[in-house]
Amino acid sequence: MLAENDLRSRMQKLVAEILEIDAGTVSATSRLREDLGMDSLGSLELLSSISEELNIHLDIDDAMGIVTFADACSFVEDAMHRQSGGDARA
Amino acid sequence: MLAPDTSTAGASAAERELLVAEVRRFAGRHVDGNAIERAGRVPDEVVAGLRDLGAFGIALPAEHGGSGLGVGDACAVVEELARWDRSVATMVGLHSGLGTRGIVSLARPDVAAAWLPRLASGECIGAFAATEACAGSDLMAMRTTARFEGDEIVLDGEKSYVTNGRFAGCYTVVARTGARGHALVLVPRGTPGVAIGPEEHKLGIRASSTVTLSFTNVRVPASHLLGSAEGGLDEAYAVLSWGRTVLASGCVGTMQAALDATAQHVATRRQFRRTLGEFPAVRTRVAGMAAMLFAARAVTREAAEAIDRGAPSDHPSMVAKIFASDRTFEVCDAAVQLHGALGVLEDVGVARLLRDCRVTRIFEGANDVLLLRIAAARLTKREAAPRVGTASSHADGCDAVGALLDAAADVLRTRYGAAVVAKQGVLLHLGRAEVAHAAAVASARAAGTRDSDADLADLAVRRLLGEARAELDALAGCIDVDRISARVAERLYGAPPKDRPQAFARPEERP
Repeated sequence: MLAENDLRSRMQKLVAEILEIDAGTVSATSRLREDLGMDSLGSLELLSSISEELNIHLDIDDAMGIVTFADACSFVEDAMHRQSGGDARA
Repeated sequence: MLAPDTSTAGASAAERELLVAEVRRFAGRHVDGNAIERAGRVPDEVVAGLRDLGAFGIALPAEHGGSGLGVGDACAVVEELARWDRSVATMVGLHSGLGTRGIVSLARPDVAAAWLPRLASGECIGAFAATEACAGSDLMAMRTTARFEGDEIVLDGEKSYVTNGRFAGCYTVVARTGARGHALVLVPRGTPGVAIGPEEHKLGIRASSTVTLSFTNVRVPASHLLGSAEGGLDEAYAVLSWGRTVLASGCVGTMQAALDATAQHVATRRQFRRTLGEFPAVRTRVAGMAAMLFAARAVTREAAEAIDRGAPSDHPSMVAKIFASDRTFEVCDAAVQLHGALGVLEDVGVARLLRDCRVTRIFEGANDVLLLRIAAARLTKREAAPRVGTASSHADGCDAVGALLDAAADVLRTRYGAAVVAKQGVLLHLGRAEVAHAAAVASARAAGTRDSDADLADLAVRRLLGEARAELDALAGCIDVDRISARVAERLYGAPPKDRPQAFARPEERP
């Protein structure tokens, strides 16, 4: 399973690739919509890419509550944790 | 975000009929589509006549010299103009929607007071500049910038395909502000640094002005910011709801023109000792054209009514735009076909209708991209498909297909989760099913308004529900189709770039 830092840097790289921006401009508190300009389709595209890359299932309904980049990372970490057999985070 | 107020009050049905009748009288006397196309521009006397009619101020506020009517009324006028000439309709429609809506909804009061009276009278015509050479449906990719310096906004960049660009008196420009924000900025014609390129030579609407605008160190007062300094893209999307709905109404007008020409032709053209109109195959085809016109008008009216009552209009305006533009092309193609060889002669007029309507499937959001957005919204918002909601013989049929749509969305959510957005073949089928179903529902609702419409609604609903079911059936097999399509595309134009991010590579390509 990926270390937390590895996952975050991979996701940072993906966001930068999708938006064609410098990865350094993506911080934990960056809001996907307001700060990074991702529309709902763009946010789902990001999660879809991660889902395929990590071979995990990301629930589309739960994904709708994601606001910041940190939220997206936590969401993916939770899904990985659950699907690797661990307990879900609170 | 500063949300634009898009609600408006409309005219009564009787007032709207009078308005349309007046436009029809004027257009019948002065608007000759073939002559206008040959001239390559809308004649000055037609523009002057439209000013006298008040066509440019229909949806602009009464306190600024407009008629203060709603988008539904603007649509009725544009529909009528499109029956006579699509370039004229495009000029008025663009002005009434994208060209002025940002100013009406978002301008500071002093800026609105300075510009709207001239826009309402038609002395000044509005234009909207968002698209760039590398930023079409993907507006996030735009490079034109707006930066704030003291009490000025400075613009640099280039905008493509600006409708009304040659003669517009002001431009609503969408530009990037900072790293990710966008803003709408009002730029007057003649501002130093604004350069207007030559007219584009187009497939259709050849008398409509389409130019490239360049901005080099263009400085306008900071008061010309329309709305917020960062949320301009959201504001642009809100303005686009108007634009798409008005565009759909133009499509309805073009369909009406194609149907009128076809009905007249098949009633008089004789082959095999009978008029064409006596052949059952022709009767079925012409009736199908009329049914699609009925459905397009119904779905466009629903979008306009949503805007006029201030309801969410992004979705209905996308549905109306996709449906009306796709079906207009289909109906105009049928018109050419039913005219036989005459159909391809320019003087007959139906060839021009076909050419003129083609761009509407691309204008204001390419239909394929909008279909993906509609499908993504269906999957993420968990709203049930619309139901007829009134007493109708079609309610059960529409609602059954609506339930199928909801079930299909549930299956896709469960099976793919967030990864579903990568399944664009699936999304397109879902989007097409949703548009066909929405048009069927709108037709069923419209059936009750006039007895004479019952047969048209019946035909439209039957056909559209059949199409929606077929799209849903196609969902099941389209994963294999996607894989085969990818292989065919690869043979046609090469393998994906080697440096493509692994996240976008197919699983079999990954190391």
